[in-house]
Amino acid sequence: MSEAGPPHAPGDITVLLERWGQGDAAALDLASGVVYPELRKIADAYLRRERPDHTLQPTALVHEAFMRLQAAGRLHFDGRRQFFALAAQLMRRILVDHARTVKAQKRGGGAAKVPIDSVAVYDPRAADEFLVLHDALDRLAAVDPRKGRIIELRYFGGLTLEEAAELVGVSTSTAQREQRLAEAWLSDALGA
Amino acid sequence: MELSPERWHRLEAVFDAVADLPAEAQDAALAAACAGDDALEADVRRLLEHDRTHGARVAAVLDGVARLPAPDGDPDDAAVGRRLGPYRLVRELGSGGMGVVYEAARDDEFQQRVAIKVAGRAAFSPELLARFRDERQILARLTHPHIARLLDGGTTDDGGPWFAMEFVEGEPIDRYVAARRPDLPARLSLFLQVCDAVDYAHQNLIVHRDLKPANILVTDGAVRLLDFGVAKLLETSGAADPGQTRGGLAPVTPDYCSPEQLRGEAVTTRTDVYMLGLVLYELLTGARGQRADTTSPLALERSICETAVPPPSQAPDLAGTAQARRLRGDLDTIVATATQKDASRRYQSVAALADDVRRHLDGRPILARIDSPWYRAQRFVRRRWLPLTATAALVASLIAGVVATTYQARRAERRFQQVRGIANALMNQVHDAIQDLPASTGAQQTVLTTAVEYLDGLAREAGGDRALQLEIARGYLKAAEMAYSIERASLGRADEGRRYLERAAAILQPSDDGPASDVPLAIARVERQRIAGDLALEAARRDDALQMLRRGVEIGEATLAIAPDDPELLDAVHDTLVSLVSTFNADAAAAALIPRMVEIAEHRFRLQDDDLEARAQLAVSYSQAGNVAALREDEVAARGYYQRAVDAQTAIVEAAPDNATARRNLMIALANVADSALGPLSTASYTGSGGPLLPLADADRRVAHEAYTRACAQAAWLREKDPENDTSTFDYAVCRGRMAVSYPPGDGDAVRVLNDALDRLRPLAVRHAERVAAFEIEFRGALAERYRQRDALTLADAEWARVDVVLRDAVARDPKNYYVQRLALPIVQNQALTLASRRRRDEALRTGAHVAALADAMLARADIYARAPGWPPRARGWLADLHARLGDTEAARQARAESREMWRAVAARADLPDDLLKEARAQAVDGTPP
Repeated sequence: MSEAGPPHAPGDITVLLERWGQGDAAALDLASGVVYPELRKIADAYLRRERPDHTLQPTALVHEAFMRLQAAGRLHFDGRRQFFALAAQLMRRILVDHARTVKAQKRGGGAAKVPIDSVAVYDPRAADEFLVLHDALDRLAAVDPRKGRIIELRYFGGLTLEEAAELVGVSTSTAQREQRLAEAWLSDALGA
Repeated sequence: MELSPERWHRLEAVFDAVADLPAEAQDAALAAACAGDDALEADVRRLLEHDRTHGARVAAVLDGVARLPAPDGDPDDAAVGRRLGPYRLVRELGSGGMGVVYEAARDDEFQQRVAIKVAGRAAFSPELLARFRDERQILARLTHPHIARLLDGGTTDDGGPWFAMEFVEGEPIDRYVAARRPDLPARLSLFLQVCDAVDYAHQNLIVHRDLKPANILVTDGAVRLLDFGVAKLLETSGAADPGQTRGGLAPVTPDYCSPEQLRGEAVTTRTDVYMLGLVLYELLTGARGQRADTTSPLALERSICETAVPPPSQAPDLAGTAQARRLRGDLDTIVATATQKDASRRYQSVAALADDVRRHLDGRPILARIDSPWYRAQRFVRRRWLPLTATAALVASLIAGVVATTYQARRAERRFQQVRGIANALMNQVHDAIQDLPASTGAQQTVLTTAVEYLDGLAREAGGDRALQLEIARGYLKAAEMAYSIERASLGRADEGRRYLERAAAILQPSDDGPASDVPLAIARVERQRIAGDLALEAARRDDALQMLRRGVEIGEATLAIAPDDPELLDAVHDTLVSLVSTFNADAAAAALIPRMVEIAEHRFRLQDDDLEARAQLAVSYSQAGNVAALREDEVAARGYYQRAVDAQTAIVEAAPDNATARRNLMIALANVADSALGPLSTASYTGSGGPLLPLADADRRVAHEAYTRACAQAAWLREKDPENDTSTFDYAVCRGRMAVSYPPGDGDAVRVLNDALDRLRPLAVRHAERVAAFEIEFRGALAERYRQRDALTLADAEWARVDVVLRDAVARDPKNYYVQRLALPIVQNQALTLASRRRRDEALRTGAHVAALADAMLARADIYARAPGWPPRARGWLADLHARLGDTEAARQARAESREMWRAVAARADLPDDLLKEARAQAVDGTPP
């Protein structure tokens, strides 16, 4: 990891996340610098089928990253909501990278390495579909940022409805209503 | 779908307006809302169509991308053939969160087959490298037949650590057990091998931190543990602070993660005990004892830090099998003890865990007791001591209620134990919930609801199985009791409790005239009477309650005549007697039951005199008897009972010297002995003599002084164990302050000690205003008396003034705080007398009137203060003396006439203690002035 950075004090991410919460954009970059590699490492292990339980749940990865950072004393449990908000964005980025790499590889003619035990579950259209979803989510966020955020938190961050609602600052029922419309719209954008 | 902000908002408005309408109404509403905008209508229609799938499409796309195989070019492939130190990587064996494992060969003269683990890349400072090397050397010294040796290690070119381990050919223990299905003793002896290996490592100060079946291989019936200390090594390589003892960066499998690791707290040998408990669970049942729920951070924390590992005998696959029956009891207890969420309550070492497993194998009793009802009862008592420590006579009144509550909790626990086999799983949860009283009402409610669902299900299936029906009935009774205590805590009505009581009654009804020789039936019936009595009491039907409780005792006694030694029956009857005695302590007939209550507890103890639970019950029985005696102001009897409680508690502390709760109970018992010896608020000061408070007898003072010295020693021990704890701060301050009263008059130390106690209490006032107020009144009153004795009247006045402020504040906050009023009464009285002797007439009269008002206020709690009706006339008599001293004979005459009138009314009542009636009759006549 090239970005070894300065030594980390216990709870350092928590502090960065707090600063981010108070409007310090640079703190978010710093926090991402710590969280992204961690998340990436776990995601890679899953994507390479190093784990026996190889159906990847993005949200499960985020939780695992959280546990690891917390166990390492770099994150306080209190900071979990901000952490999941950040990790949701990063997880999305990782999956986008993943989908793009797979696509690029196909175009370049290099056959993807398909482990024997996962042949049956591989759907080649998945990368394209995911990139369509990613794009649609960006368009949605452009006109209605909050709905975009709720979807990201729920689907990529694994937050419960209550947690997501609290984070974006609306009631649970509002969040549920908004998620519902956003889901319907995204389903529509994905096509038949 | 084209998107502009305006269009989007219209879309949203229409969607929200129609989405929840029934399908048949949707069309019309949609057309109306779109008002001819066909494109909008079409868009919303499509959204409504998609809405029916609830986002399934989005989820499917996400799942799809996750299943995409990783692109080629995996760097680890290139590793085969590579050299690390003297080894050549031969093939990949597997991989996990920690990295990749290879088989490797040493192809110099040693010709050795090894397993090499290559962890992820990490940045290393020279300092960390050095530490990593040191750790490795420590691990390399671990040589044990059941531990795979760490042979070598180093760092790869790109900076990642690697380790070479002995190559072990074997099967993970879980698969081994699943495939060969060894019998229970064989499984346990495999487990003991694991324990021996872990214990050996602990002796060498090495904690595994990642024990799980995958790390325990079995070859030819012998186990080998892999990866010892590797988690720590990885932490070393990733941690910035070499001294930190936190859980490692190395991922711990969530299903085996201990609470302290999840929370990032210190990892100790007891972390391994926890993981071993989970491994044992798995060996016994074939299932995982802990299932980490990763659906949300909160769920994750709950599933690891709160959800108790269920008893192995309750594992779903084992339901009703012979295996489940074999696990019930010892093995359930062993697993529960090893997997306590609070590390300090686990086995203190792996050796202790192994010892209990061996005891079980040998058919000897196991030592784990951590979860016993006794333990829980102690905890519960501990929480409620503080109000009890003040003056015995006053406090006894409070105690009556408090002890009843304590008993309910004790009973609650024990009942669940008894419904073992039905709701054992819930037991653990109940335990956890009760543990966090009083703030855990929500958790308790959850447990209760689950338990009742479980019981309802069983009740439907019980059929004609009478034994099971009885157990279910007792389950409902327990549920009723819990519901009652929850509802009472939230000041609700006991409707839920009554409902469960009815379900129990419906099961028991057909057996209402069952034979007295049916012991289990008798137990259930006694419990039913007791709970029904408690519920009747809640509804203020005191007569009904009394009758029900008495009937419960009758039923129990009839069966005790046939089966005098049944421990559960003895418990049930004892509990019922405690309910009777503690609730109707003002009733002489109920108080007359005390000897029988104590007799049963003593008998129960003789049956099992090595049983701490039985001894603890005995101690509580003595305390309860002492409380009632103190309430009846029979200080001699009270002291006798309290002294016996001290003896019982002392024996418990000797048997369990590290048990903080036992020590605290001893402290309470000692304080009770001292308080009953001091009896500072006995009737002596109310006889209207008008003189100063009666001095204590030297002998009494010595008894109190010695008891408080011992109590203070226990309090000091507790405070040292837990200096941040408010309760231990309270305990210590209160012991010190109360002890001051036992110093001889004129002893300057008393003043010093009291001021010290007040200083210690002050910081607690923010969080515990009520309690601090009570103790401040008590201690300042004592301080004022000390100053008065030394003629330091200005200082005394300042303390009395402060008492007045604190008292008025407390009553303003809660007009029903009779406790502080009763507590302040003799202090204010002393103040008034002192003022009178200084001829400060107006102040003395004003203060005297306050005494009378305090005495009158007590009438509101005549149900608790049995002698309360005597206080108003006594106060008037005392006021008459005060007037006489001030030279106002007319006012004295009027006050005396008023007192006499009041005494006459008291003498006409039939429902009062005999000695009070005697006093009333005497005063109604003798009070007449000559």
